[in-house]
Amino acid sequence: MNKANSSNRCKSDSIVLTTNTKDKFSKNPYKIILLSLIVIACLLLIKPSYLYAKSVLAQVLLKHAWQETQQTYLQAPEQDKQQHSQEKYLPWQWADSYPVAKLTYKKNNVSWIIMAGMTGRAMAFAPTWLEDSAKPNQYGNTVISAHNDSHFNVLEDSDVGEEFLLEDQQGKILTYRITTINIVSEYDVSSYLFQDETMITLITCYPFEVTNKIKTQRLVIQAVKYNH
Amino acid sequence: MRFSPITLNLFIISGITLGMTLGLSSHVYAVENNNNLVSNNMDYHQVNLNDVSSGTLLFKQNNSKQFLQAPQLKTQVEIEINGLVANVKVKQKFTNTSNNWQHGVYAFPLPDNAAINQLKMRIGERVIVGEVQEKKQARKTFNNAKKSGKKAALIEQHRPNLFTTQLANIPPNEEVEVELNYFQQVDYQAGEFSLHFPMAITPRYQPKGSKISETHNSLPALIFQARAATLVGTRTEKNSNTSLFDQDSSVGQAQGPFIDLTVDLFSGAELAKVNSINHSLISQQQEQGHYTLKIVHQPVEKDFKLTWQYPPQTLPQILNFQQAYQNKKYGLLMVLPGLSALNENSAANKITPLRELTFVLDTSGSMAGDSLAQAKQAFKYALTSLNERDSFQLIAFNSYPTKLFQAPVLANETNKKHAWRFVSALESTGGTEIKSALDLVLNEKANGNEKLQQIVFLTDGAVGNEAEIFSDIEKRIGNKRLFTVGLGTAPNRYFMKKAAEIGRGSYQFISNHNELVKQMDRLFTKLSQPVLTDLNMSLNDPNGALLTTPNPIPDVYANEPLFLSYQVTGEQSDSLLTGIYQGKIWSVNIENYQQGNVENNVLGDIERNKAKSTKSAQELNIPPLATLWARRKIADHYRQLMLYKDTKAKDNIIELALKYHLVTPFTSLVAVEKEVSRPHHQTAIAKQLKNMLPVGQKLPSTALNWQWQFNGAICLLIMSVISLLLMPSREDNEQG
Repeated sequence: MNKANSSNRCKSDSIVLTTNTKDKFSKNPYKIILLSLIVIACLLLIKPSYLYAKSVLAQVLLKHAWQETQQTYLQAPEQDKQQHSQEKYLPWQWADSYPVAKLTYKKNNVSWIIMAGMTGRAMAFAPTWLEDSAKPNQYGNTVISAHNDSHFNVLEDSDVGEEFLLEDQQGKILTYRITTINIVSEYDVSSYLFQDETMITLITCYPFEVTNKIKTQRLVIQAVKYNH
Repeated sequence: MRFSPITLNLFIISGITLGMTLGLSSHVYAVENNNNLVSNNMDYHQVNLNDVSSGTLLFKQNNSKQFLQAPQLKTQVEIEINGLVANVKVKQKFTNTSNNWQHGVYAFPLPDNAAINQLKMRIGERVIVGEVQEKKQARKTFNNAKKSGKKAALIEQHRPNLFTTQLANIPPNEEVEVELNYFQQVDYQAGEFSLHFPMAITPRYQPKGSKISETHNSLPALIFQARAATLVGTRTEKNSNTSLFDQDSSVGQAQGPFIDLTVDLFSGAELAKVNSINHSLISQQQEQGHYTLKIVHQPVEKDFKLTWQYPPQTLPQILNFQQAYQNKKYGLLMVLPGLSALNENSAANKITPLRELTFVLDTSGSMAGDSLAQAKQAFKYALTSLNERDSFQLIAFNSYPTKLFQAPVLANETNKKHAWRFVSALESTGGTEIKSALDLVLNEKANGNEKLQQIVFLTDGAVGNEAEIFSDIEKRIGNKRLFTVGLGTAPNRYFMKKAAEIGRGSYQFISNHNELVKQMDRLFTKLSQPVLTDLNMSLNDPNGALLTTPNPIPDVYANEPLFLSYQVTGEQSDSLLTGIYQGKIWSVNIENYQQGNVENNVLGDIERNKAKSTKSAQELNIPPLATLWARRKIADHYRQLMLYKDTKAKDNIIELALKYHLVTPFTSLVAVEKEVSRPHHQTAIAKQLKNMLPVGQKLPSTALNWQWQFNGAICLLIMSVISLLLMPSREDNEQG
């Protein structure tokens, strides 16, 4: 978020400079080059700032939609609860996915709203849940993935034994403890496996270094339901 | 201060370079972190070897610079094929060439319909036969044996096609052989039988961390890409550090692992062709209808695939095998469509039944771009596959479904053109409301015509309330057939599979868009050639009971055979298979059919060979057909479990597995030596041998990669601004 702000400030700086030095353009060709470089730099900033801002802003909207989902469930009469839990509140009008759960990483005290459907579109906004996998907080393996340079960037320092909280649409909150951390090839889909317990699998790209290359490895964190 | 043009240029260039460096610095940081992670990993593996299921780690001792050598592995495969059933024996020989006691873990792929039912551990002359136990119990048994120093072997299933063998307490400089046995049904496609034996193939990658670790002696572990069972890559790199094991064995290893494979093919009749796709074979015909094939010392790089063909006219159209086990009869029935006997009355007038095709197309926002264009292309294929007397309907849906025609229309040129124009104009927008679209399709009245009603449902998306939709389909599908096509990386597979199963159709997943056209072409060609529909199998004896899997029995299409496993309770196993063939009722008495074909060599010889095959499964006395039936039944239950998280299905699986002695996700085979062999004062070292994972699906891409560009752009910006700010001072100097 901070970075996005700073980019905006840079942009306004450059505009001020442009007006101040306009009359001297003809005298100095270097100025033209420099000014065009500034413009290029600003243009280059747009896309990355947009991508990052989208992932942050969407969480705000999603949190709102999540609260609505929860409230309608709680307010619903007992016999209608089943039906209400099926209802989907769209975080914004044109969304083609809906929030399914809220995941909290205890160590950093951050939380994300998880969206359904592991597609690139949904993942730009929020961590996504693989609809093939078990439903959140239900028996089986719930698979969640997110980008390693937006939501899941904090998982870089995760360690075995740390805890996650997962809240589902019914408001049930379960604690999960990390049991394994693995680095696997992108073709190793064994983490999608059905498991004979209630657990979550978090997937993000690996390594976390900043590059322009396509990442061929994934960090796979598996956490198993922990009974107090 | 004077700035020459060159200095200015230098300044700008240095700015860009700085940007790059900033990017790289975080890279270095990441590498260091990577190392931390690796060490966490390793600790975990050491503590909890039983849970190792992925990752390719090579262990190095914490307190020394030496690498320990994992047990070597040699694999020997013996395949015996009798008609439709293959009996495969896989022998894994673990040799410990070090001077320490060792444990080993070895992950390997097997065909996903393999029914593993036997484990034997061979130590010298002694043979220990494994038994099936519930997974947790088996682990306990194994761990207890491991702790107390007994030799033990454990086979676990991690998913339908991935298994691990764990071996505890291999004595120094000795070898232990693990032999597992499984049954598998052979495949048949377009006139050709085939058998597939997967060997290891993993995508190779070399994390950057491994390079760093060479300079860090403190690092306890090194990730490497196990191309196979041994330590090839790292060994050569690390030879300077190692002194633990002799040079000879490492030379042998450097060649990679090898596999010996023999096949005994009892075909019953002379074959037209025997072929192996990826390997060169030594093939020999021992006697009429018995072939032996051999692969010696081949590197495990490509999967083994054997195909064989009978000369035309040798095969009957219906093959039926039965074996009795514990008062019940188990059978495997294969119906080969489109061959002469079925067609003999009507060879001249080869009519395909009239069809009514309903195409349901997802046009939601997520289909944007390529997906929708490809889906449109698919629809075009569907149109061309229809002939003039067929009819069709199109339903496009996003948040709401839209019907193109009031009722299905004839597939004539005008209507096709109209539909095509409509489809071309479709744009992707809105949400994905699958239920309302399906409701619309299922509500469509049958019109009282005799046309075969096929629904093709194409979507890339999410399905929420599956259970509700399933019961909907089940209630209202009637005589319709539902075919599902899933596009993209994350269609809801269980939904699509199960929906197609309930709808007596088939499912297809297309993850790669380039394949869509090809696959759609295949689907619609298939849809245009139904041979036998509405199949039903019933027992002539009213007191008996007949269970089939799959249930309901799917339709039979040209060039696609039907394999049906069944179980008969009762004295009489004569049964009647009925269906609709070319609009008329068609039936065949199964038992009679078999007798009627005795002159055919295929069946006769297989009966003769049965003695041999049962001998190999002597210890268990469960005939292969009963095993295969149980395996398919387990697969059905497993699907149930995945879909509904129905814990009763789990109990059913365990019950079946214990009764039929099978390895499943919830049961494992475990063999434990009676006496203790490792002295208590010696400890054993854990090894993960290798991990071979079948290639196919891919994990999602999870990097936005925004930061690199961001950092670069920020640096460029800062440098140019600074340069610009310095400029005026130069002009002032000039004036002054």
